[in-house]
Amino acid sequence: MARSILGRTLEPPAVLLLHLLLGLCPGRYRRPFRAEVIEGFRLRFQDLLRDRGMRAAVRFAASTVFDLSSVAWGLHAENLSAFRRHIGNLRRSLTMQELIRDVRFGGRLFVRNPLLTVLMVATLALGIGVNATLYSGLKPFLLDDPPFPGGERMVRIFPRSLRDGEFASSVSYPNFKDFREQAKSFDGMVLSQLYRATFRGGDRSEIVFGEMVSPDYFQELRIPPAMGRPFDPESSQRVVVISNGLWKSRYGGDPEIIGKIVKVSGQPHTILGVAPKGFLGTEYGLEMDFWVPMTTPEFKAIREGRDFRSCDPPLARLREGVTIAEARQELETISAGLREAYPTEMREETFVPFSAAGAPFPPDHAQQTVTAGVLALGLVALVLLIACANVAGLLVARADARRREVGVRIALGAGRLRLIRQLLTESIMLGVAGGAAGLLLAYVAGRTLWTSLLPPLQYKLAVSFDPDQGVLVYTAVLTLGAALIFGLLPALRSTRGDLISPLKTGGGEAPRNRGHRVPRLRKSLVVLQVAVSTVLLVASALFLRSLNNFLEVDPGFRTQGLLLLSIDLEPAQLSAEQGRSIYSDLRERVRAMPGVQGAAWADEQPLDDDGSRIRVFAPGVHDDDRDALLIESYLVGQGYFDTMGIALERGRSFGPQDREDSEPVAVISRRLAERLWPGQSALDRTFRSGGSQGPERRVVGVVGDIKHHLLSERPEGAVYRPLAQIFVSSATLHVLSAAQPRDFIESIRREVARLNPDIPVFNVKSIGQNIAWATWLPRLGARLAAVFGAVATLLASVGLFGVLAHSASRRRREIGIRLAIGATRGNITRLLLRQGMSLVAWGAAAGVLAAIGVSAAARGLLFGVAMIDPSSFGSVLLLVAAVTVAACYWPIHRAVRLDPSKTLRAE
Amino acid sequence: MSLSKSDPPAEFSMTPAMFHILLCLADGEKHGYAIMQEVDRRTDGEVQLPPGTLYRSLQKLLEAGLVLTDAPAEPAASHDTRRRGYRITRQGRQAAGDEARRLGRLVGIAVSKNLLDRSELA
Repeated sequence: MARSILGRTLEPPAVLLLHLLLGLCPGRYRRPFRAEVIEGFRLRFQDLLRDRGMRAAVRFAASTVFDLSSVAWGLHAENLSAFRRHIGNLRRSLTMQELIRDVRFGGRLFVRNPLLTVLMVATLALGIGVNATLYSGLKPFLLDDPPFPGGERMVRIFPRSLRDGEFASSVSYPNFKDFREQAKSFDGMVLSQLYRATFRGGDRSEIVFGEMVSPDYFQELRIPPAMGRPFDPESSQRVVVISNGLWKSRYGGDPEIIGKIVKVSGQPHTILGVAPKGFLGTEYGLEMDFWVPMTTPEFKAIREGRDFRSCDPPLARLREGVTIAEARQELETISAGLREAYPTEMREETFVPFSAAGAPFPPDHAQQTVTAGVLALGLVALVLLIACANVAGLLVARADARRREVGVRIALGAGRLRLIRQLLTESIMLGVAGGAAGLLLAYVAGRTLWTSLLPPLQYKLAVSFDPDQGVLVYTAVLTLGAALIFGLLPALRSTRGDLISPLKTGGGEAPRNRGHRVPRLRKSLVVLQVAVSTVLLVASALFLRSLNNFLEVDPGFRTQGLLLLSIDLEPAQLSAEQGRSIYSDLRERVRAMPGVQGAAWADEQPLDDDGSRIRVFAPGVHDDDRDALLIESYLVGQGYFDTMGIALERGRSFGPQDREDSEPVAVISRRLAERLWPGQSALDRTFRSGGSQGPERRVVGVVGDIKHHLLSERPEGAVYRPLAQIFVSSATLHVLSAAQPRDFIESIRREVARLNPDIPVFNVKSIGQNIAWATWLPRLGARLAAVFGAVATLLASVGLFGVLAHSASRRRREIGIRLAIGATRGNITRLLLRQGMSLVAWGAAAGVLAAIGVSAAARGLLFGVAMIDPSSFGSVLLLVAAVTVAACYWPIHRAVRLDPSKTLRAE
Repeated sequence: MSLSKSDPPAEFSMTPAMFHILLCLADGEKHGYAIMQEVDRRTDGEVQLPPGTLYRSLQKLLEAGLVLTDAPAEPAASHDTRRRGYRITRQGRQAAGDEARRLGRLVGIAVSKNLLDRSELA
């Protein structure tokens, strides 16, 4: 999925390359056929992408580029005399010695002007560094193949509803099993699901994250354990394979570990093997610490329930030579067969494989992710463009100063090509230095940046942002591209036109007739820079605004003063009766602590990274199970709504009268009440939970709506059932206090240990961390855009500063005369400021137009922000104006302090 | 010195790409992309005619007078040319026929030397 979108984004660069190659062809070919060649390429590329996939399209693009290069070469070669000259030039110019001479000469120039050199290298390093950083951050999410043998052929199989085309992200074990047995397109298919367990060994219990997996998981992935053996698919014994990390940290790398018994969530398991170092499991981006097979008695319900969608989309390896389209066809057929065999459980769905490269987003979300990624890469490419423009500006200034040198060399018989090559060698030297420094920057700063931007999670994250080979190639391409962009223009410029007059005037400057003017090229570069940084600043303003909108959203519950901590009763092997008394004892003890205003249990937390839903079937409203609503579900204890600050709008909340043996009751949210019984009171009505055959519950209260997963979501309703009526072995205590929530953690831990030492306390956090998780993405956008916007503005103001300083020093004589004949310093200031401001005005105007385009493209990523947000655009324009004045200050200050008599005498 | 319209046809040599193009145009006027598609279809993707070679060959055929196009060779605005149609001329048919006969003779030789079975020709 991500790849086909990438394929489409590959087209424009390929077209650009073809344009460049056409530029190399003689006019007699280029002029009549340019448009047709490009059009032909695009049509064919799109056809191939659609009909034969990414690989064929890319192969075609490569062969077109190669073919056009050879056509260009052939056309030139046909022209015999040109051909001979070409060979002659080539032979003359390609000698290694000359290259070495060029490099030495360039090196001497750079050393002679260290400040300028450092400025240029630092500018490039910044530009290339931000690009390499972003690329290395996005690559794991967009491009990287799963790290298993044959990972490049791996796919994930997503269920897709035939009714609305939406993708789901959970699959049942029986469906997986049928695919594995019937599909011929794959050689290897595994199923897995994150599995939280308590490891009890010796005197401590701890929560460890691992996976429950299909029994031949290690064989199918072709990952043999480093020690011991993989699971036996035929056995239903309780066994576990542990990770290399856990083996070292928890068991001190014990070489006798195989065969030992460990209690996993209260059940004794035999350690069967240790996974090889570096194998982290199949939960994308997370580091897993153990694996248990789904063949044990605990997973019976999962193994047998075709309707029990509890696992991640299966990961499968395409057989060599089988295309994804063929696999899709086959799975479609198998799905149709399953639908026929199990009409109620299969719920009109089909199964579709997608490339497993990158993060396992549901395919309909992948588009948005790729858009965001490409947009971000485009924005930072603009930062590099600014850096290039700066360096080009500095080189143009230097090239003007070198016109005399160039004139001398031409007078002595150097060819233009030879000179351009000398100048390009210098650019490439700069580029290589900048690229190396940029890569270093990406390595050091990028790592810190990405790690600090990762979402707050309770798992161990395992995404590597270190630049690898791909980043190296990306950086090398950027560097060469940058060197060409910033080197070629000044090189062409300085070797063009009248190069002899500088010799006559004796000065190092450009001919007199253009004496006081800053070259138009350089001015255009400044306009470009201002435009680009305006775009980036507007982008960061929009993201900040969107973040602000997010933070102002009322989630419907308290966002401060709440401490959350979870316990797991399973390892203590208690009855439901005992479990309930632990819950109520602990709640009472915590409530008695000084400063605590409330405490309540619930099985799920809002704005957490998981959650659970149940089907709500209302007799009289719904006809059959297909109409039942899938609704967020919470099992909550007494005092929950008060503690959470969720408004009770009608009826009552749960109290001591709601017991296991009393009438089943529920509290629902306003939105659900409106959906089920519009315009009527929901109180005392009944619904069935789980479907038309589920137990009946009476609604006793209606509460306000809250946000469950995202702050931007629309309310769809929630159903709350009493924890006293449905027992779960793990729950979270919500503690409300006026004091620092952190102060209670240790005392609560002690209370838990006093009640039962086998019960682990985990996932301790404040409600603020849940809010942080929910606003992580907008925060990320705002931070990235702010960093890149700041870098861009810094670079643009350096460019503006350079132009004005250059212009002011060029105009010394003119300013001297003006001052001598009575101009005031105010006149001079206005004169120069007007020059700076007019450049900025053009740039800002162009930037605003482009920013509107960016704003439109990023609309899906922004929350509650108009396409033309006046305050964002306005504040950016003010900032640009302020930066302009600051960049103008020093050059103008120097110019107006000139002593006219000295300046004129020097002339 | 470049190849130009005044160059005698004697210097012209037919490449496989040109022969494919003439075969495509034998049915009637086509634009460049249609030629690309037809060659791909007719040869089951075995022969690919990338745009660079396609238009270089068309250029040579135009210069040799074997193919004609209505639009001027160097239009004022190059984007007007996207769907320029190409037609085979009488000389073009002649040349394609000659080439086919030449290939036919070669095939005949191959058959007579038992390099190729006559049944494979169908």
